Amino acid sequence: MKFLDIAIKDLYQIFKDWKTAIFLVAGPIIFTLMFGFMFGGFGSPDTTTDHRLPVWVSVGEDTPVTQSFLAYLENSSVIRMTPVDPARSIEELQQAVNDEEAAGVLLIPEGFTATLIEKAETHLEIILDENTTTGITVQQEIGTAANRLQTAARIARTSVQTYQTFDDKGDSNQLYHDAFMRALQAWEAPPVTAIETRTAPTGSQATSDENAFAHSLPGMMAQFTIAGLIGAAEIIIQERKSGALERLLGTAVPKFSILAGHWLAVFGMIFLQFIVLVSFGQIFLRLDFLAAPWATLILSIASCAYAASLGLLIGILAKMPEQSAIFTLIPMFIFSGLGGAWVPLEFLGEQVRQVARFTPVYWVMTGFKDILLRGTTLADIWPSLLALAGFFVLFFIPAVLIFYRKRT
Amino acid sequence: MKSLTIALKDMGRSFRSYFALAFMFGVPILMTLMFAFLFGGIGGEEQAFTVPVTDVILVNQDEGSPHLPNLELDGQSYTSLGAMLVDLLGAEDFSELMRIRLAEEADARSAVNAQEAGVAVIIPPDFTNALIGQSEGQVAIEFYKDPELSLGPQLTQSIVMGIVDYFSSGTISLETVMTVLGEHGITLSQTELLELIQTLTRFSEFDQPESSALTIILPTGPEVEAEPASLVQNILRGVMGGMMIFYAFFTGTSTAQSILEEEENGTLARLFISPTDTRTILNGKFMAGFLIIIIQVNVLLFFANLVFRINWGPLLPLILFSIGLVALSGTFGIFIMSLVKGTKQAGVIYGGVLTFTGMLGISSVFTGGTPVESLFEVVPLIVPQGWAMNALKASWSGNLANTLLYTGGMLIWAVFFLAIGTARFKKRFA
Repeated sequence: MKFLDIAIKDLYQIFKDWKTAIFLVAGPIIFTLMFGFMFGGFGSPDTTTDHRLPVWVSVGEDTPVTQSFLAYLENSSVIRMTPVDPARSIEELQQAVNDEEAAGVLLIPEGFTATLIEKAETHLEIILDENTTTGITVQQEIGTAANRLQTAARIARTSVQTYQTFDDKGDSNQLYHDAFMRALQAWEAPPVTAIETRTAPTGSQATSDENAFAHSLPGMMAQFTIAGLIGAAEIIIQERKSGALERLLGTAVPKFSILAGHWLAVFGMIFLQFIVLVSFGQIFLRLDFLAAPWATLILSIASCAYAASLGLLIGILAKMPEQSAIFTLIPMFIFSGLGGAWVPLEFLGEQVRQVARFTPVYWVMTGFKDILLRGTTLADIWPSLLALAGFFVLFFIPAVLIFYRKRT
Repeated sequence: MKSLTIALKDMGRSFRSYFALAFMFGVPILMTLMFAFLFGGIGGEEQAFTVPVTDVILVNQDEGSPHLPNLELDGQSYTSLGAMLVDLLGAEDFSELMRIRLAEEADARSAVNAQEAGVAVIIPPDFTNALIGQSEGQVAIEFYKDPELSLGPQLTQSIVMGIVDYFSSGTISLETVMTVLGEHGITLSQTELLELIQTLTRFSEFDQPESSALTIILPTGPEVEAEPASLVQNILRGVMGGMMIFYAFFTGTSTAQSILEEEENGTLARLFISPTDTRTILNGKFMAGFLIIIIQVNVLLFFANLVFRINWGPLLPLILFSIGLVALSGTFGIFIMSLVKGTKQAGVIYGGVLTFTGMLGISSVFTGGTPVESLFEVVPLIVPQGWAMNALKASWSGNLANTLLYTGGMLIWAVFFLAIGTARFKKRFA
């Protein structure tokens, strides 16, 4: 039971400085919220704020057609139109996009209505950066709207042509306008719409209500688990530097108990962090970890076990406290970046997705996302558990070997 | 001169330490290399952001319509618009975006559940009827998605609904024409109606002239990049810039830590009894930090430009930013180390303060192009790294006014840190 005393002593050392505890919890929570909003895109849980991308529009002519077009764009769930003075120069508007005041600027030129009516063609200019996701999104949204506008113009023209086969003396202008407006309105409720569904955590197939934090919280839990190892590893380094380890080895405490004690302390610290974060997710982010309580518990234990082994290895390898920062930050960035904690793996190439499987962060995230998004249970997350057990062995055995070799 | 001697001694020590070198150069470059790998390549014309190929399962339940028993497109005949949609989605044009296969509904859902497919597109039985205005109420195509994916299924949905838009234009055309003609007292016979449907269906397909012309104007002014950078280069520039700032603060803190180390080892006490005043010794220590960061920032900027072909924008704003970064990260190290009692607290400083403030400060690198982008232009300003990141972004955009603003902010932070740090160290060693 000596290892328990060592673990308790380590935990006391870690938590006697309240700043450590704050960073262990505040860091992941803040970054979870940040990445949650990122991944959530336009469907983030906050419905009170208008998150639509701000797009400025400079209207070169004010006609019923341009008004209808703008009214149509106003209904977009992706972009928010803001009129700007058409007298503003292109350079000024370019600068506004450059300064990210606007996601893009739509320029409706003079003669736009005439071209649309005469040729059923839309000629629009947009100032945007095609190399950003914002630019691509704005381009797509305005492109779709422009296509629909063009279709409305063609419908109106077809209506007039059909009408003229019966009566070539009627008011074709009025008919064109009526048909155009009706067609534009019809696009707001097309005959076939899209409905998105996905597997709900209960196993049922429910209408999509994505919770972006189901992506970000597991990622940040996995990342900050590693970040927290800096302080934990330092306890081991200080013990060695201060000569306390020498003294400890001179007592009847077996070497393995010393190792096990340190490992248990790191495990305890991370497990506490997991409890706080899982509770935070359950209570404040509506993430149902408790839908599969055993799966959540065992996966948390497996995640903490591998991380504690990594922390032990870092503590044994590092000679100085600042070295523990390097030894910790490098795997943290590599595992988190490759494992999908920052950029969802679907955005990355097939090769990267294959490499990701060799990082523990990938398996921590996969396990928790399976619980949160797919409603899986303990029996279904065995690949994650197995992989994390493998990482535990991978880090723990070298830690033991180096510790024994160093001391003998 | 004594200050310079002390500074050179400290610099020599830092550059002999492979840990210091890792902080300064290794990790920022490693991180950028990793992102280059993540997004497909380092430098070169071939850099491109590749959209993932999504496994799509189509479930065609469309029963067709007795009103439109036969459809033709490019010499092919179809019994329903659902069948036509399936055929169009299987075209070569989309093969780089989607891997299409057909299945029954239950199998399709199972495949998505098992992550064997990204999305199942379920075309409803009333699809054709809805598109020709023969269905009561609205009909929906179901996109049953893997909840973990967003981009691939979203693109699939965009493509499918784009085609459906063309199909829908037939119905909308028909209804509009019928309504408008009706308002003008014209009623079409059944034959005329079917003829119109055929015409409009063909029209709604791809028998159109060039679709709407959207001319893209880049937001870059004449003073900015001559050639637009690729998306990958933009990402790498953000990552490299962020990492440079993140680790410049580590370097500043690490070099300032040498004061505490020397104090603990007793070498500082020995220095103090030499005929060198405390101010000279501290100045030498501080100077070492600034010189090391100057070398670090310059090496990283040049390296990124040469290897990753990162364009840092106009020179003047870049110089202003670099001066600000050196001053800020150097003084931050002095400040933070003046607050701690000894090197034993290094863990909290590196793991807590620097990691947390650093990640928050550079967070705008990862929030670009998201709805919270504007929020994360402001939130990181609560930490000094945020000012540095905004200054760098303003610098590479060629926005001199904003560069001056943020660099000014960095210098104010720097003066504050230096004043407090110096005062505390002087008091400590008085």
